[in-house]
Amino acid sequence: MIGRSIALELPPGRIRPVVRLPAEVLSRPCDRVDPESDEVVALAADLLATMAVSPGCVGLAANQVGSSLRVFSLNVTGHPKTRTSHGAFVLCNPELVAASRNAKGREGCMSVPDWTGDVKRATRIEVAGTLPGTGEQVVLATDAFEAIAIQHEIDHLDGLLFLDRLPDARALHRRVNYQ
Amino acid sequence: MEFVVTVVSHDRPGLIADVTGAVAALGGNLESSSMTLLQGHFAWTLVVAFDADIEVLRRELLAVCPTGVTVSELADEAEPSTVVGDRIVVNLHGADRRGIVAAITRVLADAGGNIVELSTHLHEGMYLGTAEVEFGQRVDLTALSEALAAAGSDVGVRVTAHREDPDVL
Repeated sequence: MIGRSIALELPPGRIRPVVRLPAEVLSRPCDRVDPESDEVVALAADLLATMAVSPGCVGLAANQVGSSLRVFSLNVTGHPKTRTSHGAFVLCNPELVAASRNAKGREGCMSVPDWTGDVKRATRIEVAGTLPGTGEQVVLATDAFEAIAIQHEIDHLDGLLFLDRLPDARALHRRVNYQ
Repeated sequence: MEFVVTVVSHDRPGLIADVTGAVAALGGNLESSSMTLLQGHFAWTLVVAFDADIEVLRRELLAVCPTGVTVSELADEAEPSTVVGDRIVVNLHGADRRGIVAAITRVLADAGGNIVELSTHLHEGMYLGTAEVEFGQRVDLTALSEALAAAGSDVGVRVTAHREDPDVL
């Protein structure tokens, strides 16, 4: 199922380095933003540009590129576990407004290389937020992989990593680099 | 220098704090460790970085846990490559009998698998186990599952295997 793709008019972004643990910015809640500000529009473009050149990357929170601001980008298009997809988009000040149907999955993170963890997340959600540039307020209903990825990114904005959600001592695993 | 320390003991509150306190007091650094309770017994394996005599470390650890400490120098070997072709989770359960783990792990070894995590439990006659197994290349999961199920049938346990593909978000 294809959700409504979100039209974004953004300037060209620049590729920014992705920070890794133990960078302090990953463990601090991010600040709300003015989605129409030039700074946030540039940040949105940077997130999409950085995601585009990062192999396997489906989402990026602003603090992963060092900006402690409540903005994330996402694009789960083409992923085998995707059902509903809204294409490539950026959301500012996102809030989860509904969540149901929890399921456990194993996830990793660009900012936590070499490790994965078994985490339980809702597979049906509604998320409210504001688009950068236009300031349009949206509510996205989604499921499956896009729902999981959005929750992972909102966790980043709250200063949480998947490591903070491990349910037990056996849920942490070394990450495999597949040939 | 790195040392491997094993601590096997009757469980008691404060044992980990005592061992790590002894390591810290000597200026050592606890790098990695894995601890569990096996049939109620405390079992812990640690890698400790420590720039002093192994006998000093052994003496101080035996002072806090007299019954079951071993200390040995970790061979200076390069960490094996983490580049693998596949990672499979194997689950088994059934009535306990001799040879269950030997039979199942032999199938995995013959298929070229390397077990990287293993946990087995005997409880009231029921045997439970989980293993994570890495392979050098993508495996035929159907064929491996059939081989495991056949070997499990021979020793009276049900064995299933599934691929664990983490999602990098």
